[in-house]
Amino acid sequence: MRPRTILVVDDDPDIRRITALSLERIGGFRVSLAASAEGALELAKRAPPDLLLLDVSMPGTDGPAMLAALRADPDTERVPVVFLTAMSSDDQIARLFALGVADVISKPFDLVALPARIRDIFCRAELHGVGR
Amino acid sequence: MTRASDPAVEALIAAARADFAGTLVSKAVALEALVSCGAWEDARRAAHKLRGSAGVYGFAELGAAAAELDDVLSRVEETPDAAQQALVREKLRELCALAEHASRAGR
Repeated sequence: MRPRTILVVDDDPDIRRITALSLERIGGFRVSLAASAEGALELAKRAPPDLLLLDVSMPGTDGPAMLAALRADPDTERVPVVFLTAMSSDDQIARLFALGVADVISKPFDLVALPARIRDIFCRAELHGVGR
Repeated sequence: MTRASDPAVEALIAAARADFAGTLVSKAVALEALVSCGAWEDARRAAHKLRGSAGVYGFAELGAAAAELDDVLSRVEETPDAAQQALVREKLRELCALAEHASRAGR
């Protein structure tokens, strides 16, 4: 079985580096990285990933706006999206879930738990017959 | 921070952590510069980034200090009065001390 591909979108290079390390070396996923929503949209359209891990707060196009752009494009509308956020209140997290994402992961996250959580999303999608 | 079971991966994480630690003092200095010129939005964005990244790299205390500064800076953006600005400077001092400590400990 081919490794699942994950596109990580975050404007913080420190987060991109450690997230890639966690997902590739601990999780066994194939990872591509984008520093902005604009770059990520191009990448996702060219080669839709199995999942998109998307930072909420970015300069320019933020995570929710990028999610809307993905959903508006037939090439990317079905890509599962997981939000990464440093927001911590229940209200903020609930509002992010309401946008229709597969999960919301708070920063700081654990480097071993992160890939396990992503794997769980793929398992649930397969159980419900929506795996890509 | 849970340890990876593979020593090679653990070594990669340790190297990334050391690199990150090596940038902490300059991140704190940059934050001080933004606060001193009243660039509240840029300062809040920098604190927000550090709030997210410090804990991931295993510097939980620094991440918590950045979160407090992020929250105070959000309020200053709305109400930049003297009391709020004094609170920003206090939280910033705490963050700078923790960044200095984490920088030494993380290398």
